[in-house]
Amino acid sequence: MNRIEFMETLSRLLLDIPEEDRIDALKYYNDYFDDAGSENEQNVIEELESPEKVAMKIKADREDTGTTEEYDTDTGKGQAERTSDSEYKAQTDTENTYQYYQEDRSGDEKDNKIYQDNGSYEYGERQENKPWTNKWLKWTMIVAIVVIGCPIVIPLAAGLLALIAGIVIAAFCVFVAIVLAFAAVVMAGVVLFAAGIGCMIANPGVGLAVLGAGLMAVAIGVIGTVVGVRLCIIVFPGIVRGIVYILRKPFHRKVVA
Amino acid sequence: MVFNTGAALLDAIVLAVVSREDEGTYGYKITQDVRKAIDVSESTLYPVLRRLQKGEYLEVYDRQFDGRNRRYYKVTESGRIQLAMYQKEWKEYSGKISELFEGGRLE
Repeated sequence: MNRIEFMETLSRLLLDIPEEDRIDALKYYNDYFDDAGSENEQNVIEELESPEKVAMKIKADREDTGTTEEYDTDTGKGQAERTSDSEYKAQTDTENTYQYYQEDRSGDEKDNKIYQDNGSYEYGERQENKPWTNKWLKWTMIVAIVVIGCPIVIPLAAGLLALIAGIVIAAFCVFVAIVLAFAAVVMAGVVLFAAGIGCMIANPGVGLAVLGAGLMAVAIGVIGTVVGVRLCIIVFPGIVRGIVYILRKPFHRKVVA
Repeated sequence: MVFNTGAALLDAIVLAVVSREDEGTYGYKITQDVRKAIDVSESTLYPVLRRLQKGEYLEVYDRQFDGRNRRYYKVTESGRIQLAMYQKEWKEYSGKISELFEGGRLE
């Protein structure tokens, strides 16, 4: 890899940071190559290891600096700035020493001591995060269950609903049919009555019999129709109430849960 | 070196190196100067400079050199205050440790 390749790769790797930071970093390393001189070009590249590593370190530090900037604008200038700044510094220090520790894993117990110190700091932060992640985990689980359960629950619920609807409609139809049947008997009675009157002229005996049968049919039909309607008045509200009760039940339970 | 150089110490060293040049100094030279004291990789130094610049402890400007614009770093007033703080802290810290190493009694 030569200088141009190195700079090109670095430039590409820094595309996701703000333009100003990117130009600053590229300017710095370009100057560095210039000042090192072409005879040291290869040394510099070897020492920097890779554009990936350089980009990674810039980005790692950028995240920290981002917070300072916010901090500074929040607190404004003066005394408050200094205190908040040193607080911030303390925080960055622990993070950064940790980074250095990671680079230098071959180190012995001294490094471990530092790591432990930071460990407690990190632990405190992680504890704070715990409920947050758990909440998310819970929601993820719920979503997962819903997604997985949907193919089973939805058709089942639809089937059950259709069954209930079917029974209700059937019951409704039975009662309507009863009423209609008696109404039909009434109509038949009326027709027979009319036919009986017609027959009276040709054959008074038969005519009277038909007329009588017609009247009887009308009477039975009227009674049946009235009874049917009364039955409907009693049964329908019952059915409707039953449906409402059944439909309400799962919703009520959901609210409680 | 067996001892780690934490971020604060690195900041202090870089501030000290830059503050020695009234006219300001540039990246390559800063690296060379810092390396006289500690072994540090170049990829670590740039983020330090950038951080100090963002914290307004350092300011940058470009100056013509050898037919090109070279970026210079210069310590600001708050940079000097910060450096003085670091120097004071370091004196205390290193003093206590030296005392301990050399068998003296801690007060």
